Amino acid sequence: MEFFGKIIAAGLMNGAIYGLVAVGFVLIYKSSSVLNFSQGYMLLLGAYIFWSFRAALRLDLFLSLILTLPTAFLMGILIERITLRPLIGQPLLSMITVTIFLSLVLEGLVSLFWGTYPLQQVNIFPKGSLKLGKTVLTTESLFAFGLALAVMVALILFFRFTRLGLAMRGVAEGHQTVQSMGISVKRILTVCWGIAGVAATLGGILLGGTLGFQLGLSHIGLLAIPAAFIGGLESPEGAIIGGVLIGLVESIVSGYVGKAAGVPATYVILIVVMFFRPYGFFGLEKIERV
Amino acid sequence: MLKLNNVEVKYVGVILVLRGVSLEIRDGAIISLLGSNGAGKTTTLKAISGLLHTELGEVTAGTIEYDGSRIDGQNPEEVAKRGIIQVMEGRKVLGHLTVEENLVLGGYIVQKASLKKDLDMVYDYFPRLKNLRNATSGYLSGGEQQMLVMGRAMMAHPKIMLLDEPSLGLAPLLVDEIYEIVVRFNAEEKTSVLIVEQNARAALSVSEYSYVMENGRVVLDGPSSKLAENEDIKEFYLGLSKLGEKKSFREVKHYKRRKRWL
Amino acid sequence: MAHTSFYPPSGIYSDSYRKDMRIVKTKTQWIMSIASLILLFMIPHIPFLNSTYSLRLLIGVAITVIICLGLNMLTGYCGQLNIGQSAFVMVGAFTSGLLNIHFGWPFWACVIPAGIASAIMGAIFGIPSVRLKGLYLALTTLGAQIILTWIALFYIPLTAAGFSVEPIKIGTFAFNTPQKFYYIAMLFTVVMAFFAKNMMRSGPGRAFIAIRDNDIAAEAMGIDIFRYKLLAFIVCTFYAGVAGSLFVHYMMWAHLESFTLNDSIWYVVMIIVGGLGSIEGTIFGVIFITALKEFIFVIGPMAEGKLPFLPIGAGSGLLLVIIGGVAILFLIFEPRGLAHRWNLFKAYYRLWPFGY
Repeated sequence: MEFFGKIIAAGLMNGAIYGLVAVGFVLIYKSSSVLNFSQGYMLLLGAYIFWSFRAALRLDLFLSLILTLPTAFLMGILIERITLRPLIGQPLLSMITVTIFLSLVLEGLVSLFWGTYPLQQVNIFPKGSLKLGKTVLTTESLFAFGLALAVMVALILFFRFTRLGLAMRGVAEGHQTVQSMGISVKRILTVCWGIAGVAATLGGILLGGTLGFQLGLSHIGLLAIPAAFIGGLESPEGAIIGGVLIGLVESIVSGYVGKAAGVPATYVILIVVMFFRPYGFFGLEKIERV
Repeated sequence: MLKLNNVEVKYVGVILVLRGVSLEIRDGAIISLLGSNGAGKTTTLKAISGLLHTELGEVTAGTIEYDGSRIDGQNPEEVAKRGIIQVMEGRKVLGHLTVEENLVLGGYIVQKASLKKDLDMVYDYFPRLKNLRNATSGYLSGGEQQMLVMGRAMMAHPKIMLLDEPSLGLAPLLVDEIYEIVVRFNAEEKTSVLIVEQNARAALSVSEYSYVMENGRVVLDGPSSKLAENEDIKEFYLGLSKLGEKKSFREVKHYKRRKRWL
Repeated sequence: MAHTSFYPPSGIYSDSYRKDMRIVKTKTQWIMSIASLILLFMIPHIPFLNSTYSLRLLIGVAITVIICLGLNMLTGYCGQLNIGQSAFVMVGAFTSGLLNIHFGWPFWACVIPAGIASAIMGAIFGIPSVRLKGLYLALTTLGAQIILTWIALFYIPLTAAGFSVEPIKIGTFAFNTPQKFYYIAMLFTVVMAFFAKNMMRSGPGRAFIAIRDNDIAAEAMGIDIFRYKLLAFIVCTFYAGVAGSLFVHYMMWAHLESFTLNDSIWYVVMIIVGGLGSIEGTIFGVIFITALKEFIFVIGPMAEGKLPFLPIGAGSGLLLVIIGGVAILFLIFEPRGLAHRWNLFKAYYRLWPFGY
């Protein structure tokens, strides 16, 4: 029973992080219909940037955070400018493949500037734990989960109740239509990518604190993909829920079946869910009028 | 005043669609632009509103001037901010959003403070929309969607509204209703309206001046009342031959009646 | 992705459908084709080109071409993005290897079953195509990559560790050096390329293109899209399987590290750079990217040596940055790939001086 609790805790924490990264996916998809396969690598880059501030420059935790997040925003914007802007109007396949190639470039950049060996360990969370009955929850898990929850709530509020959020939803419906209303699609896309960059980086920082800052961090991108799809590509809330679901599945399968069975299991679940619910649980169905 | 001077538009650098179009829209007037499919009417509208570049088109010659300054080649956002709003053809509502959300987005570029007032104004013009304010716009009927799209444009307090085929696919009674609203809007808000239509009868009845386009050129223009009496217009667009009779296909002799303007 | 028109030189015309569909249309083309084939098979005898290094490279290119041909038929002609191709190569490779080791079958008896095994896997992962489109389908191929790798890692002890495989033999003559294997590789590549080209200009090929361009319209015209999508998957993975079998008998060693997600992505890069929907393009793309890779493999360590302030591993990083960057530039400036450029070039000199 204690083991089960531990598994659930790990699953929730990982899930929260997958959810965070998945949110970035969903934002980009919602506004520009591009599936950003390089999300995991944006995570990597963002995490490494944080590491530079914290470990290489030895800045205080908060200061590092405050410096990293705007940089992450910039990173998202730069990526959009350089790779996606020139491709507007090309078929969707091009845009998606560009993000695949982008992952190569980002991985290369990271290796180029920071090398391929794992970086020095950095502690983010104060050591501590909470006992709930027989299970022990570490501060990290709580923190990660709490953060993911906070982001989810913030996003729901943002999209439902702010003008910018509404404009983003409008952009997701049709670029040309929205342009004719005077809304600058380019600006909205830029903001979306910026937010995605920040979301990825936050996830990366959290993960780096627990797993260590190494190249393997980018594989989280692989897991955030099923999370985003299961949750439904048009729903940021769905992404976080999907992320938690995937985290739990992975954790449970890893714990009871075998360490490495976790990831494939999530993909099996993905395929199964896709079969019955092609749009994910919270996705928006295609409204087609004949 | 919006003026087009010899505008030439090419798509992808090679497809010449507009070959020197000249138009004038006086402040507060309703102008109609007629022509059959492929004449270049929608392209003219898109040239004005700046939406050409999303379709790889550009104005390669001629100028489009609004109140003295050139607007051809500007971004659609800037053109919209100057008060020229296009209602695109095909009733493109933002499907997953509700009616009210669509309208709110329509007023995005206007001051936030007047939002409530603007909404009320639109609901006043389109009472049907008021009942549907929380309905998902993708599921509305064609007529309601057309009303929504026009209401959306109204929210932005346009100085010139470009209406692209408002009667497309709508029942005749509904078409009359919509045109009445257009006239009312023009009278009350002093907004100029440029209507692109294939339904010549309806367009000629509400507009004060009309242009007829064919193959990318303006081939005929004049006060709408005169055009409605024009023999050629009657035959080719209103389906009447001389003496106001319906044409019988049995008596078609094309070589006898040629379009005088080509 | 569109098929750039073929501009025959003046005087060449076709007066029947059969003639129009010929792959080799003019006498010059016949001569060129036969000459280049002869040249191809003579390379091991040409002093400058027949070093072990270059032969190794060419064999690598040949095997990759087979893989990418299959991929191009599925992704380029039929429009279904497949980012799990290397897993299917792996299935073919391990099937062939296992048949060879357990039952002692020679290569010639293993290669078809290897292809079939891959094809079966391909069909299984192609089944979601009945409900999923585009993006979502690509996801299932990603799933294929992950799931198949995991099965090989955890369920078959032999494949997890890697095992040795016999070389290809005819009688007692073993093709166990690059010089000897070269002929086998080229033979397979030429035959399979020809088959691919032929298939794509016939009924199924046209059905693929129809599905890629507008599958709903294709269905309305009477093309059974599920059947053809499945066929595309099967053909693609069959090619992968055969290539895998060749690969494993060439290396004489079968292990997991040769079949990673990264490789799957490389294959997609190659066909995009070469030109989606084009057989010649596949060949161009593979050659181009392989050359680029080799170039950077050579330059990378040199750069690392000369510029000591770069951290360890920067060489491989540079590799990725450059190739990824090149691929992105290709997508931006020439999305139809090298094949399109080649066609434009041919059209240019044929139609000169009537440019455009």
